[in-house]
Amino acid sequence: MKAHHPKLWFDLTTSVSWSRPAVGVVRVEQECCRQLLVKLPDQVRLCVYDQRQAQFLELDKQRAWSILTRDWSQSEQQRAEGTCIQPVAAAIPPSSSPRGPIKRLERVLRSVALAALHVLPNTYQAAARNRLIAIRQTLAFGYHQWKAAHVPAAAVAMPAPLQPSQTAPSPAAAPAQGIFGAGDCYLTMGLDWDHDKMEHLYREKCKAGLKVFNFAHDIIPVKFPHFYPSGKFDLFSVYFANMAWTADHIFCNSWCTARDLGDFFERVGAPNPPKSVVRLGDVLPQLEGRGPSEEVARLIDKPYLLFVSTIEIRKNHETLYKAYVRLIEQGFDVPTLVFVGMAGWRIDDFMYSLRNDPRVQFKIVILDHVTDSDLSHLYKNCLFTLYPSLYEGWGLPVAESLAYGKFCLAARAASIPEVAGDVIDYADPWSVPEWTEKIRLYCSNPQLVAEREKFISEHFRITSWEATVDQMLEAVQQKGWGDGVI
Amino acid sequence: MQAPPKVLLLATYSIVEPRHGGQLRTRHIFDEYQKAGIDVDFCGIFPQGVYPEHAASDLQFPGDLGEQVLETYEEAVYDHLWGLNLANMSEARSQLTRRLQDSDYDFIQVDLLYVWPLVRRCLDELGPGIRRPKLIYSSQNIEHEMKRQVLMLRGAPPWIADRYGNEVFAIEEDIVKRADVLFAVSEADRDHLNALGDRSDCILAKNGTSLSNLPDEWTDCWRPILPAEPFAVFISSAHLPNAVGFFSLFGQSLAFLPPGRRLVMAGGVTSVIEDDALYKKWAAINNARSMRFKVVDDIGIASLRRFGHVFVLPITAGGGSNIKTAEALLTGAYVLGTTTAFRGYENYMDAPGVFIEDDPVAFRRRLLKLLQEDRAKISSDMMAVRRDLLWDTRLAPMPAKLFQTLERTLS
Repeated sequence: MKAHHPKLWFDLTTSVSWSRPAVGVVRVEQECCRQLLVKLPDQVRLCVYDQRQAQFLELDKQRAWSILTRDWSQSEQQRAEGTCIQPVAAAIPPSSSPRGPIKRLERVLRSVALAALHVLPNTYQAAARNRLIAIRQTLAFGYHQWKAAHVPAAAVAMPAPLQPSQTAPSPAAAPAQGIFGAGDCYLTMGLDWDHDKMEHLYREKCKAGLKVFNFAHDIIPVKFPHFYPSGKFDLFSVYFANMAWTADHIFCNSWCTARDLGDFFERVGAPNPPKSVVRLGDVLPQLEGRGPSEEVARLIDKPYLLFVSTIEIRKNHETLYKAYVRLIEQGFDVPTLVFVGMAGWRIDDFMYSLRNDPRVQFKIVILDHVTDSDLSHLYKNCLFTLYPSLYEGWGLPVAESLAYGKFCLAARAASIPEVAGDVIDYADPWSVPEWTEKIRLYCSNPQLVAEREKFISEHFRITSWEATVDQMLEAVQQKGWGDGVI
Repeated sequence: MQAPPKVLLLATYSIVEPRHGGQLRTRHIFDEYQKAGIDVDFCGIFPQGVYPEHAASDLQFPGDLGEQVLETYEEAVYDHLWGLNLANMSEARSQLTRRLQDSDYDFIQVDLLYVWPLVRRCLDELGPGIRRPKLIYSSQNIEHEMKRQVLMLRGAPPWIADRYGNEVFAIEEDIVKRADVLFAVSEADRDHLNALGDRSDCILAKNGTSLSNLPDEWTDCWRPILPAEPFAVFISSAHLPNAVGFFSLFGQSLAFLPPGRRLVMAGGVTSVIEDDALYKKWAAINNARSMRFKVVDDIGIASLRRFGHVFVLPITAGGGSNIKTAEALLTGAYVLGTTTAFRGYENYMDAPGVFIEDDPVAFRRRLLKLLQEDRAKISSDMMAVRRDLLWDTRLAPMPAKLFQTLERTLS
């Protein structure tokens, strides 16, 4: 009789449906996945959750590598030809990843719409943008409805068509019964709240005796719902209440998150599963020899400060904007301030101010869709980085800044001191005067920044993603999985 | 041959389509009297428009209160204040007096305290030569205690709770002392009423239930609506203490239930719970773990009784005796309740499939465990024993006492 070897399933649903350079949670998922695939190629299996069919499907590893090694700095053509970045972990050769015609059409339409928007007078731009977003959402909904009706079998939303696998059945061919076996472990660390899978996962856990490992990035939408669009509080409170039941163990990215999560479970009367804190890696993918894009090359030619984050209220870009306005009005020669990140939610008024305040024109620059290569150049060449966030579960950009040996002026809030300890300087996120003075101090005293950087190089220990995964595997092993194979 | 007793039964609601516990009890008293050959008239006395389904013999009067009450507490004291004001309405007095004069009743039975001020004035004002009927008070609760409790639960300051509590106490003490026949729904209430009236003749007439006689085909249509996995059922009226017990035992959220397991709520209590800030705080979690029906028809109730896995009776406040306990016991499913929920059903507390938990954590833990178990298996012998929960058995002391009293009066 053939012995059953318990598998370690890694859920890659988020990355499969992600269609832009990896940030935050997506980066964490992808880096951990790479490490697991390299470390335990025989034991690790990949899966995705198909919401429409409400089932987990096995994902071909070759397909996964093509997702994990996507290079967003390349043109569509280059990507189609299959040239990829070298990730932190060594990858097996990727397959090609051409983008579908619908995606290409969407991109063209987006460019046309953006160009048209800029032709409009400023006062009409916000309203027109909202209208266009609404139209896009309606069209996307219509398209997905149409697509759903024309797919004969279970399908997973993929940015590129699936190739037949030689090592695992394709999702379309996956059997209707569950893919999990007794003693298997399952690890998920993506944008799980968007996948509506926890109830199904709980059933799988009960049915197959699956051991489930969840990852909590933060519980801010529940703790501070005012930072988010309406509906997120409800979405996340249900998600975490379900996590309390599905998880045999929860990995948290900080003690702050672990504490917040424990408090939440207690308040709602849910079970409180064991938790452990895992230090996230802070190494960006290796991109040796690749030059910056034209836009970034122009920027890094002059002195600049860097703030890497999605633009949303919680990240507190506004404090930096106000500090900059003060410095400019006081006649201080500020370096360019570069915001790297996509526009998030509830920031229309702030974006309007940024675009229209003549005092900060050309002084505050926003970069979206920044590739890992460009981000690396931006980190390497900045004077120092800023991170005024009001609340964080972790604060990956602070760690990344330190990994590049760059000093960071950060908010003394939530988990951020856990990331950097005493190797950086802090300011009260609410205090515009403090940020103003500290930015002035470090911009005026390059030797001070240099001393700080020296201190960082001597005292800050870079965490590899391999070390992150090792911490998780230890907890997985403690649950009785993979005896003798890790 | 002796003529059957002639009774006028009074309450502050209609019993045409009984839904809540009080209505059900009064309706069954009426039915049991009829079955026993008692000549009974029912007269519901209530504010205009409150019960669209009512009998022609019911009396409706304007719903005005005699005084201004803070809106927050109005609902809690409405029945009491309206009852007081009713006694001052000449139209109400003349209509009831006319009925008493015309029908020459042997008994007038007050089934809800708040009509007593009106009844008392009418009895006092009956002219000479008119026979005064004997007074029966069939108590459903210790009203002054409950009124005080409900006001406190609504956050009323102690002086308001005291004021109305004392007013109701005076009315209750008055009727208990004057009543020729006194009935109580539980041992605890009986002892309380005896002490209140300085008497020892209060008779137990406990609450009961009736069997559903709906064919399975009628309830089959509810199966797909209800959760596929074993579910808990909570059926209750909008009476505030019912919601208070819900929050006391379940806490702020239903996150103690795993994904996919649901609490099905039905009855007026659903709205009271949904409107409460405690429920709203974690509404998404609560909604995901519950299914909420408001007032459902007989088919709906029968379906819940047929398909429910555990019946929960999270009662921690209020007096009287919970009719839903009898209903739950007769389903044959698991019954999980508190000691308070089993007032009047004490002999069932150790019955198979019945679990009593007063501690909130233990209550929730027990519910979880029961939802994982196979369906309760109550033997047919045991179910036969539970038929003594039917109204005819439980209310049997009432008609018997009336005949006995009448006989004694005549002799």
